Amino acid sequence: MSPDKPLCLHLHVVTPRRLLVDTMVDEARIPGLEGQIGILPGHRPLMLALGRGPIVFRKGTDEETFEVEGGTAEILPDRVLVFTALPE
Amino acid sequence: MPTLIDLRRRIKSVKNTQQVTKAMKTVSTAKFKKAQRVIQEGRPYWRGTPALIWDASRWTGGLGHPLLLPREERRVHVIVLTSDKGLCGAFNSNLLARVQEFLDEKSKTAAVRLILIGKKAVHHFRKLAFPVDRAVGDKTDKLEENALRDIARELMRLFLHQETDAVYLAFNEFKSVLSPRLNIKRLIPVVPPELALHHVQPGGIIVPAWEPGPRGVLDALLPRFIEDQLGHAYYESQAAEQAARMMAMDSASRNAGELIHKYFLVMNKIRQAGITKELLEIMTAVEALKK
Repeated sequence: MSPDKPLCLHLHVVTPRRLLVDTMVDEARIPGLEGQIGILPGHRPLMLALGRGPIVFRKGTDEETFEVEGGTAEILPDRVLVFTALPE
Repeated sequence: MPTLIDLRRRIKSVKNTQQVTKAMKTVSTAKFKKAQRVIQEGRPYWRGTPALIWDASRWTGGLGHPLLLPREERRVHVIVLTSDKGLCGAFNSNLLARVQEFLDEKSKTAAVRLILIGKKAVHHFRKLAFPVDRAVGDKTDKLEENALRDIARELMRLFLHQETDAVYLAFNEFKSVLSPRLNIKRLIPVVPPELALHHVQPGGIIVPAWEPGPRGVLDALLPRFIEDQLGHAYYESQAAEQAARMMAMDSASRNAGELIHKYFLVMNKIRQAGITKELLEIMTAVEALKK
């Protein structure tokens, strides 16, 4: 890991209708097409197509979860942008 | 000269009309607030997605996704979004006039087919020669998101099977309460959005890894983007419609108020003239009796 590794992630989860999450987190787990992907600060840049499943994000010891379906995530070392929709 | 009773009747009727327009204004204000909230809450998404599409199509470089590739337009589909009801000023007629121009232009070089959403559009194009593939002319304001999604999917299918070469979308975009913006844009193939410098990294742009591969990501991104765009246009149109109706009803109420004021002035004048006349008659009678 590089010494200037960011300490936390800025997680955005947006749908066409709402901004669901806009917060700083320590860790996020996102449902990729090929399985759940865990993201820690300093992750390599990644474009990820999403499947259906839960997004889990952890802040300290608090964990939150909700279901999403499809969409795309753009992952940068210090931020995660998720464009998705809620399952019907 | 109208009689007093006529004027009273007219004032009463204008007052009734004013009450109706006021009520309609209140209703459309409430509906407008709702539609506006949907748009505002969707704003982060619409700010972010075009940039994402841009990044993605740039990073994939020469790897063209079929939904990104324009081709010669010989068959064109046009989606027209209007409202069901009138009483909203020039909201529909402006759009339909613009669409008409656009269609005349396009039909010189291409076969145009239409998809109509909104009773006003359906009525307008009933008399015209363009073939209509699908028409939603009832309860447009309660249209399910799934119905729009279906339309978008069907069009994407047609495009990918080379049965249509481009899909355009004509709708009223909500710009401000005062005036909607007429908008005709290409939905398929996706127009790569303008450059958005939202996250240029220091030390150059990081080309990310892809999972599962650039093509897979574009496959996940583009169809959804097209579907969402149609949905978004629908809400924009809703908000613009309510805003237009709000303005129309507001000015109708104001005009009714002015009319009432005018009638009252005339009425008062007539009444005053009557009183003066009567007084004059009494005075003359008294004078005559004195003699």
